[in-house]
Amino acid sequence: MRKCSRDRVKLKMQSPSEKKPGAGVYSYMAQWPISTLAWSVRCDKKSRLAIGSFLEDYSNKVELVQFNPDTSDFTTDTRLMFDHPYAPTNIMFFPSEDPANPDLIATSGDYLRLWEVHDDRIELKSLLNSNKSSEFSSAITSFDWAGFDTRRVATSSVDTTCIVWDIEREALDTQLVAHDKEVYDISWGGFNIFASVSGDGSVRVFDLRDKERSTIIYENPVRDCPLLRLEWNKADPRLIATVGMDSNKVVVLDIRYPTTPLLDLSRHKGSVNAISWAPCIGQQLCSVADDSTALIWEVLGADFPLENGCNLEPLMWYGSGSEINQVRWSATDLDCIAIAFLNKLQLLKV
Amino acid sequence: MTTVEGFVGVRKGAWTHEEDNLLRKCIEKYGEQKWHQIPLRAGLNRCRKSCRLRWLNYLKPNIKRGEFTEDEVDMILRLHKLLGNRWSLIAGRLPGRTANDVKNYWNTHLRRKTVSSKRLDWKGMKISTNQNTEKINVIKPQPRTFSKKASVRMNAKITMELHNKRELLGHPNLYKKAPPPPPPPPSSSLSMETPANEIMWWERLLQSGEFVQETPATTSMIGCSDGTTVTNFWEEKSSMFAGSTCFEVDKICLGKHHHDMDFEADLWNLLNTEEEYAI
Repeated sequence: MRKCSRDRVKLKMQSPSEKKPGAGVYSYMAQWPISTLAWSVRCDKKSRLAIGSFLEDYSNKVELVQFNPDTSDFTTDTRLMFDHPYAPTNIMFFPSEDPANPDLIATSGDYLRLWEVHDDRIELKSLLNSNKSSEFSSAITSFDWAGFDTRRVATSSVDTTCIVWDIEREALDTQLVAHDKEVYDISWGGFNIFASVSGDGSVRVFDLRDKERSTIIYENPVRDCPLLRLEWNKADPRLIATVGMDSNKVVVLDIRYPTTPLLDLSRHKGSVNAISWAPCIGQQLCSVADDSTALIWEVLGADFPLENGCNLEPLMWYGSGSEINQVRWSATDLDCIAIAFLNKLQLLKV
Repeated sequence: MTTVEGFVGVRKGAWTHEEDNLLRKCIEKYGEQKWHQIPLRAGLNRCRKSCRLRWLNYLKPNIKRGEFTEDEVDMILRLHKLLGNRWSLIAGRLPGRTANDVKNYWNTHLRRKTVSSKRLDWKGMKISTNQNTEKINVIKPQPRTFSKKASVRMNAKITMELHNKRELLGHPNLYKKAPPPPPPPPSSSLSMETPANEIMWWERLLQSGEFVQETPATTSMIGCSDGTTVTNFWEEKSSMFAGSTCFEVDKICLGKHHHDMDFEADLWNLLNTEEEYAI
């Protein structure tokens, strides 16, 4: 077992009156640059995270890290670390609080893989390959595990397709040619409904009950500019957030008003790298960027629709020491956000 | 004699030095575009495809000749594992190498190395892979998009009316907290069908009072009180048709009653049918 010291820094906020007494930052230093992270959802494994490495070698790592809120320390176990081919593009735990469910982790890269977590080891449970005829499979850019139907995982790929997997049967359920170019991110919006973003610059919504049609609800006004990130607000399914390549803007869409953004959140001074909605409440959004800041936005507190959405100010902000490349809002602790930059994982208590 | 691209009997076969020079000079002058005009401009008795391939695979100044380096071979192996036989994508990550060169190198030097008899994972262990051999149809959905004009008109109207409402009522925020989506019906298989009695969240999404506070009768009405028609509300993009097919959604009236503020349109219904809707 390895214990890690913490450094406690106050969050910088817009107004001193909003500062909470418990607000702080807890840091864990990994042995390698962090590419992606995920929070455990299980009620018996709260404050557990998985972090994936970003190494230019074929062999990468995924490690489980446990945060202890009482002592404010991180603990790790070398047995709960596993090798991963290529840097994982996304990681997710089994999206259920029920401890009776299997303790699984899904990762994506060259394939979608499912790993089973035991007390003393992590085993590869299954590898899902869409290409029956060969070992080749196009790189998977991202995936989303449906919390409302835990058998379903939807993946996005550079081969322009999105695939819905039935992980119980370990079989491909539906494969759609979703876009004209590489698909970079995917997110479930509800039972049978998901959305994806692509190198063609569009956000498309798919309904699995009508597979012959998709709906373009937004197109990047910057011509030939890909959309790289997408997150559907699970708590308020009217709202979708997306980010373009090399853009300092987070675009918030309301599906009732297609083509026109509800908000353009453009207070970052560098390219936005990741976004995460607050679970359960669904009114707040956290974005992180190359300007080394994490901004928290009160999306529904604003007048709607904002005539000049770009003037919306963040509710609070945090400055790190380097470009932040990943953010995830805790599913179990609504006051906790995890961010990653360089080798450092930080938990922001907001 | 057949006439192809304005030439009588287009020349085939090996390119001469003179032809190469003519093509070089032409591209230096006019650039790498409008290949259909290149043969005429260069004074070449060649088809456009032949000119383009000759330039891209042989004459382009930044083309790298000679043996592939260890790093390049390693890169080809990695990229092929990720991308398969997408030679132009692989070549795009190898400066100076053409898709043709990469493909030829793969087929002559590397293909046999990668063939393996058993499905092993990356460390040589046997693992469970999806061996389900059912035939999966890859579906290509037809993308539909909204007409920008109609959307802008609708959004402008709603923005204006909401703004008026807020001024009259002094409401800083018209939203209520959204309820979480209901759990799916229990089922043993991954059925795409929804039970008839199940009201899906997106079908309830915009029902009155759920997200928007009701307001007194004194406030102005949202939308087109005159019942104006918004046509060309969405367009269907299809590669099968030369132009885009437009479907009209007649009489989309924004607002129902003077005394409430309803958003009763269901996005999915709105897109999937051509009936009348009241938002």
